[in-house]
Amino acid sequence: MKLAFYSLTSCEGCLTTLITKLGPDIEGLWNNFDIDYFKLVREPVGGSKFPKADIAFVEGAVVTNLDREHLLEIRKNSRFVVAIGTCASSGNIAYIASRNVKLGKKALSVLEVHEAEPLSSVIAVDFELNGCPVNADEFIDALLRLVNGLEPIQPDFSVCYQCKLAGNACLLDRGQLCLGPIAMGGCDAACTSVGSPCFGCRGPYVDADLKAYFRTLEKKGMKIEDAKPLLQMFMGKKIKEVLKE
Amino acid sequence: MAKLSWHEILGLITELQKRGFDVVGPSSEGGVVKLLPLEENTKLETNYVRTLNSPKDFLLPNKERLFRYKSTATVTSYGLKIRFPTVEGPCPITIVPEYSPPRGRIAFFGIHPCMVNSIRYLDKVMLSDPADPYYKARREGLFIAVLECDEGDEYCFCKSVGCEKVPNGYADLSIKKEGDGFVVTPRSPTGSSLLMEEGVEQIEETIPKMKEEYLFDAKDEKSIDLKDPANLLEDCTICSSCTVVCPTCYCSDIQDRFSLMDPSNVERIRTRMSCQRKSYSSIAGGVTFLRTKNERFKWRMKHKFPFSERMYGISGCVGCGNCIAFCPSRIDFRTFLGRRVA
Repeated sequence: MKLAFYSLTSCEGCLTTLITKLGPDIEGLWNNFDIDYFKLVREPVGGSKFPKADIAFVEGAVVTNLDREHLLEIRKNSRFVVAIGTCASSGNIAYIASRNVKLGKKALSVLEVHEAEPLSSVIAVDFELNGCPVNADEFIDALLRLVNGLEPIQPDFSVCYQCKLAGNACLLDRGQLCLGPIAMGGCDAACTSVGSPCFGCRGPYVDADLKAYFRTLEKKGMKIEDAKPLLQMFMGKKIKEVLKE
Repeated sequence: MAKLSWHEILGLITELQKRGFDVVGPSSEGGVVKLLPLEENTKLETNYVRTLNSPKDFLLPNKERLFRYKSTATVTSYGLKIRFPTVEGPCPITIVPEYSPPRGRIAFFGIHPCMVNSIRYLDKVMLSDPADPYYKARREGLFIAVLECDEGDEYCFCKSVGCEKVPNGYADLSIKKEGDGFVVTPRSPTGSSLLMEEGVEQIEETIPKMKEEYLFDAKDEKSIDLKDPANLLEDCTICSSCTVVCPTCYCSDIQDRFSLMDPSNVERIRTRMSCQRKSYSSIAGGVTFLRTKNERFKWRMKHKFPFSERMYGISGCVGCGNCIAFCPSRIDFRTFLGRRVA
């Protein structure tokens, strides 16, 4: 099975995480699959910049005109496209950041910089692996399920769920603004377990109820206006649609 | 009966550990009291009302490995191929029952009567025919030292569901705070041997003082179905915290864990499930039965009250109040199911 790992505009943290966090599994990945392209590791095999692949994993947001062109090529040459990381699934920080500044006309000779968009704004994405950065265990699980013709599983629970499982005291009760009740879990409550509130880097989870969350904040004496920038920070396009309602 | 100092209480824990018990007790960590394995650096906490986790975390641990099996994973020209028994029909797997029951026995030290009642409920569920072998192995030889509860907080309501007393045969020791020391009473032969005493004593248990008492009307499903929880659940974000901290929520999911390194070795694990999650009631084809939060909430209430009453003759709710105290929005189901009487 041919795999390819691409990178658009991003910090390349997701691909780096896969290399560093897979541990001994990276050997299995290398031995069991034909990896025709892996940015940071291997040049495209066979000369084509976008080799034909069964599964293409794409990190990064679509920001430049080249990103857009590359992504369309990737879609053409891949049977299955998986967005990895929050940049690819929601636009991440770039989504809101690029909308709050004047991009101006001073474009580089070949590059035009546009407002950042997630992959799904440009092409049809078959599956999204969220997280900033992506979780290596979830990646393996999704890959092995895809190989066997099964649909990968998207976490259907909140960060609160995993935070309570981890045995943490509630940060909202301490007056810290935390997105745990609406943020998608799967991260094993990594941030809240070390006392840092959840920023919702995986976007809202399937049953997230924003209205109820705002009511909860008000009950605790926190301001909804303070929560909005936090919501927009990582959730990008996904929260824009919800906030409109 | 013996009057023991704080130091002697800690001596009891050391003695239990010498006898091969993994002693678990309440301890303060990160601003919250929770049940933790009591080791050298873990300090026993006796002034507390509730614990974030409950005995179920030790009797039914999350991500427990049930067994390993050899799959017929092969590397083909197509790539790696693991044959799932469910997808490709029965496949030649050899199930290797690679299960080793926990070596040490568990001793709960200093848990309140409501948590003891939750162990009784889990026993009813997990040990009724056919018994769950994993639970049974952990449950065998369980030692329970009950710390009597004087007063609950505003979320406690154990008296309203009849769980204020320790059920018969569910305590080896009773510990009661008195001044600076503790009065310890043996309630089973194991307990008396630990205290170097003879015989078992019957005691008048302390009935905890409740701030609030309720009268619940939830004996049958219809009474729950007729009520509308929409107002109550306006603040509910369906985060599922309530089912995680509940000492009697035992629902689980089964997962197969693969590794890229050795694809033929598959691990089957049991993880937590929650009725508040979408996948709890999802079936093939993408249909979900419990769609809204109102439906999921009602389902939780029905399971705790009428379903449990009918199946096991006892309440599935032990009145610990954890689901209210640890809910980010403090959603209180008590006035939904009944009315306050005191």
